[in-house]
Amino acid sequence: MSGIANIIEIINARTAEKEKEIINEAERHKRLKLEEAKRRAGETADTITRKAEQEAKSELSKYEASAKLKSKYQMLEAKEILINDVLADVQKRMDGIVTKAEYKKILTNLIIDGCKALGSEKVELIFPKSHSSKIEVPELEKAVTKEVGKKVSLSISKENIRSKGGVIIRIPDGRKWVDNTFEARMERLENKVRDTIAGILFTDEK
Amino acid sequence: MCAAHEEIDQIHETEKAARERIEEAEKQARRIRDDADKEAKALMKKSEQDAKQKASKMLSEIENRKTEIETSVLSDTEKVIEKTKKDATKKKKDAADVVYQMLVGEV
Repeated sequence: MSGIANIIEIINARTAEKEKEIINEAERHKRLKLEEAKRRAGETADTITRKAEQEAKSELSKYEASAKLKSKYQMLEAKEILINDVLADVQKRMDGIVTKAEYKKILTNLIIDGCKALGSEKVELIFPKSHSSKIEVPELEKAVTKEVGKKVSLSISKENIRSKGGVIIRIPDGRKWVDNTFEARMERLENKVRDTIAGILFTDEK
Repeated sequence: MCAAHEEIDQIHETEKAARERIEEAEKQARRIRDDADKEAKALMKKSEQDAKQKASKMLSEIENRKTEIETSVLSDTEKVIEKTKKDATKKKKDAADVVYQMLVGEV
């Protein structure tokens, strides 16, 4: 090979080497660039998906809690209806009792209860209109005296109360009294009554 | 003398051709880099679009899941209420007796 041919060959070889180097460097840049892009794309996709999953989970969890709460209210409502059914039955029974012989015993019990609470030797009784005829004072005094443990004198007030049944027991000066009308007892005992009904009706669920 | 000139010319020609090849290689390298940038951008855009689509689908599927939850909870509640009513109905009279006694002062 001549000198010139040698020089040309060297130039061409170096050129080819330089070309290869330039292209290889560009290809390396491309590879790194795409790798980085894939990594970042993966991270971005993960972030978006994770955020959506969290949103979905939170939304469903809130919805489930709300559905359960709604269910609890439905259950309470159903129980309330059952309790009110019992109360309505009791109310009906109490409304009907005032015309029966059993009412005398009930009045006696209510009067004894009031006398015990007041602890007074003289007591006045206020009835709904015409209910006083259901009791006999001497017989009642005997029963009260026996239950209270001391002599108690009873009198029937000329006043009447508006009530379906029961009696108000008060000391003669009117400073202290026990309202044992059916309505007052119902109001006073309402929570206890409802708890008792619930306790009986729903025992198995507790 | 003439032969020497020819040789120098040949070298110059070769060097010129080499420079052109290098320039061409650099142009090609720039194209590769530009393509890489475009591909990377497209890849990221597609990946983001796919993820957004997946997220959107996931969130839209919640509505179905909500309906399932509601149906299931409602059905369970109805069953429990039915059983409660059935059991309680048998005990209503007992409850009414006890409460009646409380209210009329028998207990």
